[in-house]
Amino acid sequence: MSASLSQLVTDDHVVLGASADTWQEAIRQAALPLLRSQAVTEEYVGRMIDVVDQFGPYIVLAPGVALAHAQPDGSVSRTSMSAATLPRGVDFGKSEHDPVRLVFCLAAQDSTSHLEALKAFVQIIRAPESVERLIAAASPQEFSSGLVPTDA
Amino acid sequence: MAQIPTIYFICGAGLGSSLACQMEAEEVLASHKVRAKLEHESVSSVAGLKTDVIVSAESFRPQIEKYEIDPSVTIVYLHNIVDKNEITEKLVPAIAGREV
Repeated sequence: MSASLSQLVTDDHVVLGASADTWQEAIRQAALPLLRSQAVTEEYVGRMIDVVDQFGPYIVLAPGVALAHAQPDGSVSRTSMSAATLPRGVDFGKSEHDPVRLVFCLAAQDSTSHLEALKAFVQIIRAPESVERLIAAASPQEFSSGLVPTDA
Repeated sequence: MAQIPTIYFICGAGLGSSLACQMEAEEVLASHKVRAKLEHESVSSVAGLKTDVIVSAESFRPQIEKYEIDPSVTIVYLHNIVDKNEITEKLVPAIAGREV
């Protein structure tokens, strides 16, 4: 059974108005709820940063939006996602999409449980107005309501 | 026997951005009536892959080029892995002619 995007990014997994000077800090901020709810270990957070160190900012998928993720290897206890808005923005080094103002963290336990959510995620981030709506969200509830794709 | 070509989408972990790219490509191929088997994997598994086409982000080029990949495999590198235009431009010609 594959969970929907709003099921994975629960209200307590949303960090609004975060601020970070570096992309590493931005990923850490976005990952805090996953650590707090023990969906992932500290090791997983480090690995999401290592992936970018090693391969570059390919996780920045659309203007202003990054999807941090890594291979689980036992450091993910349940499939979940978190998100942080960074109104001031932070550069990830992908010039055509910087500054990033929305960072999602994906923790997948297997290769299928996050399929539905990822499909919705892709639909949302390719619409700039949907991205703006998420960044402008004033409450986690408002953020969640922006996670339902409109063109599905 | 019709042979459906296989396309592997590659990223660092093989479950986030590669999957996002795969979903975009799925729509592109469907709209061009191209049939293919779509799979995704992490970059560390590229070496042993049995596939017709590999799709990955430009940032993985150095890593992928280190592997000895069967010369019959077409490798497509994308600047923007969820950009349908770029996927259309590069993947559709790569797959054309492989469908028997």
